[in-house]
Amino acid sequence: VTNINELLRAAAADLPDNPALAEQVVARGRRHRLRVRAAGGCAAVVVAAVGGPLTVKTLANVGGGGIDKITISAAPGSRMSNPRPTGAQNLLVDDFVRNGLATAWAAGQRLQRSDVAGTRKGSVFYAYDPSSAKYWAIADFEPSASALAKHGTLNGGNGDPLIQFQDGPFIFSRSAGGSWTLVGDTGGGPICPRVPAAVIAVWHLPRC
Amino acid sequence: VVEEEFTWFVRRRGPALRRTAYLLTGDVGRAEDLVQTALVALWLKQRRVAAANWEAYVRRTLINISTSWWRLRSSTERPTANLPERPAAGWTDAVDERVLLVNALRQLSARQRAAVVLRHYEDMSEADTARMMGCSVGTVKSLASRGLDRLRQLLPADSLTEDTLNEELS
Repeated sequence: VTNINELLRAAAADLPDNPALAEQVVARGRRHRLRVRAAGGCAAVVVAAVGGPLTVKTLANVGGGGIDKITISAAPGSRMSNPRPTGAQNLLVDDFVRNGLATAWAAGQRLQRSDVAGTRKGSVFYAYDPSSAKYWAIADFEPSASALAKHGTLNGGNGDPLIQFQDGPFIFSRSAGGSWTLVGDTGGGPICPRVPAAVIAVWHLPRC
Repeated sequence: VVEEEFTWFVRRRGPALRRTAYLLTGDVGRAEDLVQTALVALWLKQRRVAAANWEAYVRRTLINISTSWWRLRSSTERPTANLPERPAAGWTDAVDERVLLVNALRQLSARQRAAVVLRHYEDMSEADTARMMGCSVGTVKSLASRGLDRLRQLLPADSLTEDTLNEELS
């Protein structure tokens, strides 16, 4: 006759040990991140290259042995080398995109990255525009708890760097494989003067 | 630095998390996959989750994933009311009890199993169990009570003490 607690502990203790668990988890995490980055960074290129095979040209190891960068080139005769411009494509926003936007925005506003908690929920739009061969995104940002503690509230008065969080949505662009660049803020106004009309259309935002 | 801290965390807490995952799944392979999936979820968010909250984050992820896996499994596998084979009592009674318990746990619903494991293996309070499972204390009491009641039906009559099995009902 045994107590359930003791029996559960005895049963759990039967599980064989796995000393390589940490290494297996980190390897799986890196593979997952690689897939997300490849999908986010190359989605439009892959779509444009339909009809011709792709060749993985280089795999570069960046930091800690994890594969971090992929360059994809077109196989001879494929349409990728001269992609036909099509309409803009609305793209899925993932954590990699959100983090890239937050980093670019913090740098553009001369804030510490740690002052920015991340993008505001529901504020991020992301697309690829073949006519300008650029990725476009708009986003608002949230201050981090440490920034709020350091600088006070958003309405802290003149000289408060957190006031910059109120000028969104902020517009970003980047070329394929490049980093996000802050195009500018809107101060709550329309984004259409700076964002291509085709991109605004796929985001289903009001046109000018 | 964060990654080194993460590796250290997995080495230190991984074995305990794997054991919990084993009881939640009742299968060595599924347990390994479950705990790795939960830890990978943490690895991807390690910079956004305070290190002090890593274990709670992983444990909650374990519960959530095991519940969703059970829902998926329930559409393809059909648990039976009775254990298919009960070994005869002998000198391996202790081993038999453990095997029977793991098999019996698999007959519970995912949430009943989670409530039993958190309350009786992790020794968590009803309030903490409720927070971990995202439900009320009353629901935890009900799930744990029904889970133990089901175990009593599935296990040999003399396997568990009545005190334990009755305490959830009181």
